[in-house]
Amino acid sequence: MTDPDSVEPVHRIGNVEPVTNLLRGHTAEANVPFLLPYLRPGLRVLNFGCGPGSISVGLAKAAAPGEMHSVGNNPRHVEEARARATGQDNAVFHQVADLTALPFEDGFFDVANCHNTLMYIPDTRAALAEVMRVLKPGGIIGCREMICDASFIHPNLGVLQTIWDMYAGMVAFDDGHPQMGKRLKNDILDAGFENIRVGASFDTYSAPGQIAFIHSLITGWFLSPEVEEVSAKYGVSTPQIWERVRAAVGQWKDAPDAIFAMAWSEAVANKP
Amino acid sequence: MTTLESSTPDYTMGFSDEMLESLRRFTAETHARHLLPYLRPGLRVLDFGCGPGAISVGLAKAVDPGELHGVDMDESQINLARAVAQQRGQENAKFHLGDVTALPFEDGFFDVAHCHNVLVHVPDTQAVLTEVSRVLKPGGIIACREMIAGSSFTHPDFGIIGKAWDMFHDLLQADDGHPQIGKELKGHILAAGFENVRATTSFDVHSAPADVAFIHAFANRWFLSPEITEAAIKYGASTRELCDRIRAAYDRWREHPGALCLVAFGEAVANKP
Repeated sequence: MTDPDSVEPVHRIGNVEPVTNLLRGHTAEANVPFLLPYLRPGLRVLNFGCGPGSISVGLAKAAAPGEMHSVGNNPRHVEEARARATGQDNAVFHQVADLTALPFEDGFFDVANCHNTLMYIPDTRAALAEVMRVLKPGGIIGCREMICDASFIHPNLGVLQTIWDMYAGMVAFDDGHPQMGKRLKNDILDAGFENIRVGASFDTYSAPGQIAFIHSLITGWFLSPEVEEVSAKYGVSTPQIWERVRAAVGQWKDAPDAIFAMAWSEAVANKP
Repeated sequence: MTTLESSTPDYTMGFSDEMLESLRRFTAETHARHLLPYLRPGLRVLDFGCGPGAISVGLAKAVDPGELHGVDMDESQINLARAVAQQRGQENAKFHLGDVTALPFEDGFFDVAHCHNVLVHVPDTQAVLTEVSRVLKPGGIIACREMIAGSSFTHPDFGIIGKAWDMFHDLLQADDGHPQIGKELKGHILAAGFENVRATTSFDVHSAPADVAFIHAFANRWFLSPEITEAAIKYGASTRELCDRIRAAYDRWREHPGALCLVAFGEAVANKP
């Protein structure tokens, strides 16, 4: 679908400071609390798609002295993750080219965590099969994935919700899955896992500092010329819409009723 | 706006067994989690729009020996709520027939006011919030949890169940309700003069087999009951053919391994100055 020579996939466009900053705010306690009750000292844990490693650190602490292996395909993120985990000696980081071909033998792990990763991998089935392969029988998979359709920015000011539509359009154009959270239960069961427990949650941004943070994420990243160029090439936007979004987002920052919410579904299941 | 012939002026949704079953599934522990940290023994709490009292009794327990007063416009609900309180031995829970825009209490009577899925149905949001503000003490707490229809869904959708959500949305709107009010809470509460608003959002998750069966029964016996579908057809929100297709899709959905229904809510907790 995508011609790799013409444009960069949006998740690589997202390899910029404001987005990394968002990812740095993710922690095991805040983002994967549903998985933490399953962790205990001595377990061997995989973090599948680790980003800059802020979730890895919490997972490593919960499993120490067990090994916590993180894999990511972004060299800059993996390097940052290693630095972040300094002193956490049980945390090991691997930079891999392909998340569907992991450098571990069969049945290596007790637990696998996957936060906001399946959304960007075109072949969901291959990704889940690979996680299945490296888990022990009875091993646990925990996933949390976004639902762009259920996410919102309010007030809309006539145009702002189109940010979510445009983002979903770009992810889909890259053969990603902007509504991955909706089908998480289905796809995990389809991959052969069993005993699934499903939850759902929002990350809500509404306090003044949080609104300022989202405003800087939108203006610093989403409204950057790079993303605008991609959105135009993918045909998910027009310069007119972009102009209206730019004007409205400045107003939104100062709206007393401003609120921004990212919707997620989460699931925990066992390898048979 | 169209007015509806129903037992109450502002509530289209009726009180079938399925609707009551859904309301009974709500508890303070699961559906008023945002408020519980603010409750302590001795506080006086208002539950405005209390329905059958399933949340009210939990709030009453949290403030015991303080009083919980539940108010609802429908007598059948008040009777059910009284029975639940009696069954649980929650003697500090009192229930009153009344209108949430004209509450039977003096000014500054309450420490805390709570509502769940109420503002979504009441046409004049500000009339409710100013009335609630009146009966709160200075510094008193208001806590609301209300639906966000636009962020709620049933999956898989079979290309049709989404239209049931649209129909639900249109029905609420036709009755002067506010199907997206969960995301508008912060603005409404500030406009009513409250301060220090803390807004959050959450989902009610239906995924386990018993929860999927519940949603299926709820859709079939309540939402697709003649009482609701006739109203929807009358308002132009649906057709008989569409209702039949939705019914068939929900039957398929119940049997689907990936069946998931998420209902989105916004919460807000704020203080009266």
